[in-house]
Amino acid sequence: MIRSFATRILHALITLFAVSWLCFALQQAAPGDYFTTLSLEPGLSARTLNAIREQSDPHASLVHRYVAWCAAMLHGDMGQSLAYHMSVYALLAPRILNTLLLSLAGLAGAWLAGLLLAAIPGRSAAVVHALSALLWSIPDPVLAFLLLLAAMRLHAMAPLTLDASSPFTSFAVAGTFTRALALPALAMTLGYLPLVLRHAQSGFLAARIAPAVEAAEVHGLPPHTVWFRYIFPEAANPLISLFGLGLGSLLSASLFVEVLFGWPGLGPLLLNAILQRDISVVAAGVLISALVLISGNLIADLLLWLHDPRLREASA
Amino acid sequence: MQPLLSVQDLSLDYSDSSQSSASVLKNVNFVIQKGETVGLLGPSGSGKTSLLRCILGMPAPAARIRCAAMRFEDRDLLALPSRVRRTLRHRRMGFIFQDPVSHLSPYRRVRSQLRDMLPSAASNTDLLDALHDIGFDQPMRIAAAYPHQLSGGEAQRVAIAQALAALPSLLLADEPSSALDSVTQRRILDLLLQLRAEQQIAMLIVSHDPALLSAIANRILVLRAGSLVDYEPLPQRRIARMPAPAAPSSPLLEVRGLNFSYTQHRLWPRAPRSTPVLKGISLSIEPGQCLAIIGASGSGKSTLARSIAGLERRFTGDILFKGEYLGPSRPRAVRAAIQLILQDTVGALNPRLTVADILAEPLRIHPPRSTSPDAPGSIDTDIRALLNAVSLPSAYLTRRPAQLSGGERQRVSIARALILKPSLLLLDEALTGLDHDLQESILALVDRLRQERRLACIHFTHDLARVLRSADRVAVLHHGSAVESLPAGAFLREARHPASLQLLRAMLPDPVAS
Repeated sequence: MIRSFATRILHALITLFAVSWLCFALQQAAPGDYFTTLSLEPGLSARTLNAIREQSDPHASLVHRYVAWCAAMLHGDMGQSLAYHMSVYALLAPRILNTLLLSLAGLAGAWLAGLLLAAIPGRSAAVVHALSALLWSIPDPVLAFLLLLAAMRLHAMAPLTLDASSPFTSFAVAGTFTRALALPALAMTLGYLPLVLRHAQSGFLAARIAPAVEAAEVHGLPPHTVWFRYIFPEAANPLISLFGLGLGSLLSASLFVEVLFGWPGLGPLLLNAILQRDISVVAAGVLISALVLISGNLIADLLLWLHDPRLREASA
Repeated sequence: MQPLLSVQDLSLDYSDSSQSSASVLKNVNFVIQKGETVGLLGPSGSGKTSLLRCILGMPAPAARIRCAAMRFEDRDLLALPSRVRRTLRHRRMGFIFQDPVSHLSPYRRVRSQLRDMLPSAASNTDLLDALHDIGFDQPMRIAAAYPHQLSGGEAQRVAIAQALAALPSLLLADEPSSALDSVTQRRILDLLLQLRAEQQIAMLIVSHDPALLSAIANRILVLRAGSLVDYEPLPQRRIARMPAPAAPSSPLLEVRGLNFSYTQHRLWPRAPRSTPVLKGISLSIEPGQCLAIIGASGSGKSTLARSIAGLERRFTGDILFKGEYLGPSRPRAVRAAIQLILQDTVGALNPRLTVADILAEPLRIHPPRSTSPDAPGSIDTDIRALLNAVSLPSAYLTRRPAQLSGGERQRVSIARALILKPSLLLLDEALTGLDHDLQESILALVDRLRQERRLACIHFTHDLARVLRSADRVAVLHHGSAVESLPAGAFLREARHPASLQLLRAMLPDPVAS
């Protein structure tokens, strides 16, 4: 078991290197760079531009720059942002926290609501099914827009904009923070909910007719015992895999919600960085996203392994 | 005295949208007194399980019930709300399933599943006592095990412990000991008798085995085609013993020094715990021969069967088929030639396929090199002939496993194993769920194939009585070692090993031989 996890972590590292290299190479392959974009700025003279360009060592080769970047990365230095003139770490750290908060809140909401709604039995289940189909058929950006419009109409939850440099640091700002979080988190929840709901519904349906669950009912166990100790474990395996996938795609799922609601997370920053060819920010962002994806899968594997005793023997 | 349970004019039919309504039970009347043991005898498909489910208050969703009165402990069951009936099931009735392994949740330890059934005040000692009472020498080990680590017999004993945990006044049992070896069967029967004496537990025991019922029951009810009829002892019948096959040829299958152990891995690097299951098993079988491997539950029978069938690859030692060493991945022809029939009938059949699809599937996986190529009719003919050979009507071709009874499912899986015309048939307790007549007819079918096609077969079973008459050789498996191997005819006289003697002593009187 330990060995198989070690192998997985080794694979993860290889993937991370490949992803970062790919990201570097693609940035290089596209015509122009950060300074091309900068030269469109009317207030900047060609001389100043050249001076700035010389500062950033433009003659080094792609491989050379990549190796230097990797070496720095291994020392914990993610490089300097060209556009913001600050270290990438200082730029990203608060935003990563914001993004994680938003997407975990969204994911938690979707899973909580999904599992609860999926447990509704009988005729009401058909209503839930139809509503989830409706929700699923609306494209996520449209859904978010509708939500935004509704909130503004009601004045109750007018979206707040947060300063990027002030993440959740003290309890004094907690109230504002929570209010600002509510709307984008709800948008994420609604976007992800139908997926969870569908899987949970069909999982529970199959689990309820499993022989072990039937036996629990024949033995007359109370309904909550049957649900928590027999039906949930029976239905859990595919749901755990889905949960891992959801964890892995946290960042990409929250990207457009952040842009739309002005949430100071990674999304808007990465979008700007791509447009401005701010290469070290983009590389760090992609790397973080890959890291999240890989940890999501690892967590799912670990949960599966903990949940199913038969897997523990099979992974010999 | 008021009876514990009385049932008046119970009728049940299934109204299926596709089929016309099928009547399962017709005007069934019976009573069970406090502390009385009633046996319910009937061939497979006669409605035994449906009757039990009616008493529990959990009929199949498509079932329609008509009943004049059903009273239990002076309460009108028909008038009770479902919540009260659930509490009655939990505290006053116990139920034992036919198919133990799949009715335990694979995700939780025996300990916690048994605790669900015990009163909430029960201590850990009570739990271990409950396991010890049911015949486990090492209750700690069983309590910490997961269901898949138990043998079929061990799982059944756990299921019985669950049913008895709440000290019910009525115990319903659906073929409770068909999966147990005869030693354990005796112990369970003794335990049930003791409970009856001490606590006045009444029992309704469903079985196809008249010998078992007459050993334990005060009286026997017979269910035939949905109606209760009078019990009369079975007519004497005997199958002529097979003539021994002609001069021995080269062995069909050889097993040399097979070892197998389970390893439990842990999250933290601790030394993995290793439990030996098979220790140095060697055997060989020739075409047309029939070998019986008998042993108590947990002796490694199933693991040996799975290893020979190629389902289990973590063994060490050699398996040779027609003189060829078999590696981890076997040639298609070998896989088709060795067929395994399992004890668990629910898990062995794909619930989404019809019987026709189930029987045709092996032919799709191993297309026959038939003399008449591209003859779709011949497959259909084969299937119908086989279905007929296992005494199932061809109307069953469109049914799905859930619409069959346990015995009918087992006959389908036997037909599926035979459809590829294998040269070696492995029967892992495959006949235990079937009633007496069916066992005989399937053994006769196998005997005919042994003569016609030189089919070899290995029975892995605890049912000494059955195999003594059809096997050529009997080998006794005890804690993973083959302790004794004798010609079947000499077994009764010459068996010396304590394990063999114990199996012999515990053998129930055979209803046919006696």
